Amino acid sequence: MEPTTTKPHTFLVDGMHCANCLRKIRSEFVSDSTLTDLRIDIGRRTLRVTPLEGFKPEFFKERVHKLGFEIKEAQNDTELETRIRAENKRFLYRLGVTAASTGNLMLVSFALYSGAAETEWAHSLEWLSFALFLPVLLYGAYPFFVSSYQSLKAKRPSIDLPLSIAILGGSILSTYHLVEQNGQIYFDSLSMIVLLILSTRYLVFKVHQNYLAPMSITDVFNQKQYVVLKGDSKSQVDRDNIQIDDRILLSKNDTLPVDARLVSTHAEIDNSALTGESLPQTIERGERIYAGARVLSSSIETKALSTCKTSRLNFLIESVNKGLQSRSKWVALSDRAASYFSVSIVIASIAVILTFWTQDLTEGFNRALALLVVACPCALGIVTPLALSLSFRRALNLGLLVKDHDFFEKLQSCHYAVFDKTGTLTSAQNFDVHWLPRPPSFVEASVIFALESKSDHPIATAIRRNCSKMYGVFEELPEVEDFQELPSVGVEGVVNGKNYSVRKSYIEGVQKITFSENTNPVLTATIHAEIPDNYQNICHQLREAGLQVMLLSGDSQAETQRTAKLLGIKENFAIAECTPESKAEFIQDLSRSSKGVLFVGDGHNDTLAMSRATVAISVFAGMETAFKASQAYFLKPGLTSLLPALNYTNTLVRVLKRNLAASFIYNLTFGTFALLGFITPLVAAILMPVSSLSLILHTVFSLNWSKK
Amino acid sequence: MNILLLTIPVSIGLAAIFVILFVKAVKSDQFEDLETPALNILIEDEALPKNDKIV
Repeated sequence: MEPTTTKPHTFLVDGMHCANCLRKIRSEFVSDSTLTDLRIDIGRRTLRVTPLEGFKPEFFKERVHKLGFEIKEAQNDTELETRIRAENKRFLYRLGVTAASTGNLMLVSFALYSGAAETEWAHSLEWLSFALFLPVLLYGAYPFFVSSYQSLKAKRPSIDLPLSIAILGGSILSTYHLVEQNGQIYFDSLSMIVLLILSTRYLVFKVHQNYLAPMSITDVFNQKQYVVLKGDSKSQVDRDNIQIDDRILLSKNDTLPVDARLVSTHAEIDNSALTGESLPQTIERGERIYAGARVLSSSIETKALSTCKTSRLNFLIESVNKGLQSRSKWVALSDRAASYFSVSIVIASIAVILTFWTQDLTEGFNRALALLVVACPCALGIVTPLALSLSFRRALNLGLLVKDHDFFEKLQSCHYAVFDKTGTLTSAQNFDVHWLPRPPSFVEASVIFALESKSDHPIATAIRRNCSKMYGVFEELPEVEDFQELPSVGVEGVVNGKNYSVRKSYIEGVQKITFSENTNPVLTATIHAEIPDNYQNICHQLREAGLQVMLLSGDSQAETQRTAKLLGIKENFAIAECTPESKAEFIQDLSRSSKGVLFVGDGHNDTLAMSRATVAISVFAGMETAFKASQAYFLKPGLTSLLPALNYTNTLVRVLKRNLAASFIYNLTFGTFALLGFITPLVAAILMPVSSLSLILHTVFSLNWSKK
Repeated sequence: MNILLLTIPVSIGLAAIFVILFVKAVKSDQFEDLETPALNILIEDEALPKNDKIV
C-alpha cells in the first residue's frame, strides 16, 4: 500500500542565503523516507515539505536547527495570498496563449503582406489568421470584456470600454470582410493590441503585488506557538489563544504576539516591525512592550495586556488595510474623468465612421480604430490610484502610518500646524531628572533603583532610567523588605536595616522627589518633562515650509510660554490653560479662514480638536481614541517623520500633476493624428502601451527615489 | 506552394505543444520562485535524490 501523504507543512527558515545552505538542508533529507517533497524558496525564506504519515514536525525542526538554521513553523497561506497566486497564474496563461497565437498570426500576415495575397492561397491564409485570432479574442481579451460589462452595469464606463469596442468592432468587421472576400482584415493588429495591453496590465499587477501587498498580522509573526507559564508548569499555547494576564516566556528572536508588560528586570527589544526604528531599545520592568517587538536579550518574561486580536499592532494593521480599500477623493475624481473620457472617445469614433460612411468606410473604420486604441486615460485610471497607494507604503517607511486616503491631499492644503503640548511635544517617557545637591552615589542609586523597580509609575520608571544612565545596569540589587507603595506619595522599604523612602511632591507646578534615609531627607530631584532637542529645528523648518506653527496646552501660562520660547513659537501663538472644548473651538476658528489646519495631538482631550482639524496626526505614545480621530499616526516616538512626510506630499502632488499634463498632451496629439489618419491601428497599438508604461515607470521611480 | 499543406500544420502543432508546455510549467509552480532554482544548479549531483522528487 502506498503511504498516504498529509497536508504540506511550511516552515520559515532564517539564515538561508546561498547554494551552500541549500545543499546542507538537501543532503540532510535526501534519504528521508517520511518526506516526499521538499521545496526551498530562498526569496521567501520558506521551506515546504509534504510529509508522509508519521512525520514529526518537532523532530524535523530539530534536525534543521542542528544544521545551524533558525526554523519556525509558519502560518498557512492566507486566503488573499492564494487568490493572488491564482490570479498570477491566470494572467500567465492568458499571456502565453495570446503570445503564441499572435506570433503565428504575424507569420501568416507576413506571408500575406509579402506577396501571398496575390496567390490562390490568399483566402485560405486569411481564414487561418481568423482561426489563430479566435483564442486571442475569446480567451486573451476576455478580461477586457468582463470589466467593460461590469463598468457599464455600474453605469461608470471604464477605460476598458473603448478597447472592448475596438476589439469587438474590429473582429466583426474583419470577419464580415473575410466572408465577403472584400476589404481590410485587422486580425493581426487586433491581437497585437491585446498582447501589448495584456503585457502592460501584467506589469502593473506585478508592481501592485511587490509594493502593495496588504499587510497582515502574519507578516510580523512567523511563529505560531508560544510558551506560557501556568503556575510553575510551562505549556505551548497557540498565538490566538493567549489570554490577558497570561505570562509569556520569550526567548531570543521571538516576536511578542500581544501587548504586554515586562516582568523581568529589563530587556532589549527590536521594535522595527512597529516603528521602523532598527536601533535596539532597552525596556525596564513594568514598561509596556507592544506586539511585534522582537526580543534581543536572552530570555524574558512578560504579562499579556491584550490578546492577539486586540493588540495595538493588529488594530493598526486593520485600519491601514481599511484605508487602502477606501477610495480617495482624487481617485474618485480621476475615475469619473476617465469615464467621461472613455465615453467621448467612443462617441468621437462613431462620428468618424459616420463621416466616412458613404465615401470610404474602410478609411473611416481605420481612423476610428486607431483613435479607440491610441486614446488612453492611463494617467487617470491607473497611475493616480497607483501613486496614492505607493504613497501609503512610502509614508510607512518614513514612520507615518496613514489610514485615510485623503490624508495627502489634505496635508497639502494646510497653512497652520498646531501642536498639543503635553504628551505630544513632551512625553511621559522622557523626563529630565535633576538631582540636588548632588547626584546619588552608586550605593544610593542602587537603593533607589531597588525601591523604584517595584513600582510601575511613570515617574518611578523615569528615576530608574536616570539611575541606569549614571551607573549602567545594576547586576545585584539590595534586598528590599517591608516594601510599601503609597499612591501619589511614593515608595518606602527597609534595606540593610535602614528605612528608605522616595516621595513625590508637586510644588508651584514643578514635580519634585525626595530621597530620605530614616526620615532624614538626603537628596531631592526636580523632574521636568523633556522636550527633545530636535523639536526646535523641526518647528523652524515647518515655518520655512510656510506653515504657521502654534501651540495649545492645558498647562499653566508659565509652563506653556517656557515651551513656546524653547521652540521659537511667538507668544500669541501659544495658548495655555486650554480645555478640550476650547482647543476644538480654536481649531474651528482657524479653519474658518478656509486655510487647512494640521493638528498633532495624543490623547482623549485632543480628539475633539482632531475631528475639527483639516488633518490630524496622533503621536506614537498616543491613545487609541486619538488614533481613531486622526488620519495618520507616527510610528516612531517624536515628530521626526513630519517633515519628510510634508516633503513627500509635495513630491506626490508634483508627480500627479506631471502625469496629468503628459497624458493630456499625449492624448491630444495622437488623438488628433488618429482622426486625421496619420497613424494606423497597429502604430496606435504600440503607442498606447508605451505611453502607459512610461507613466507607470515615471510614477514608481519618482515616488520611490524622491529625496529622503 | 503545396508544401504549405505540410508546414502550416507542423508550425501550428509546434505552437500548440509550446503552449501546452508553458501551461504545464505555470501549473507546476515553476514561475512562483525564480531565485532558488538558479542556485540549485550549483549543487553537486550526489546531494540530489535519485528519483528527483525533491525539487
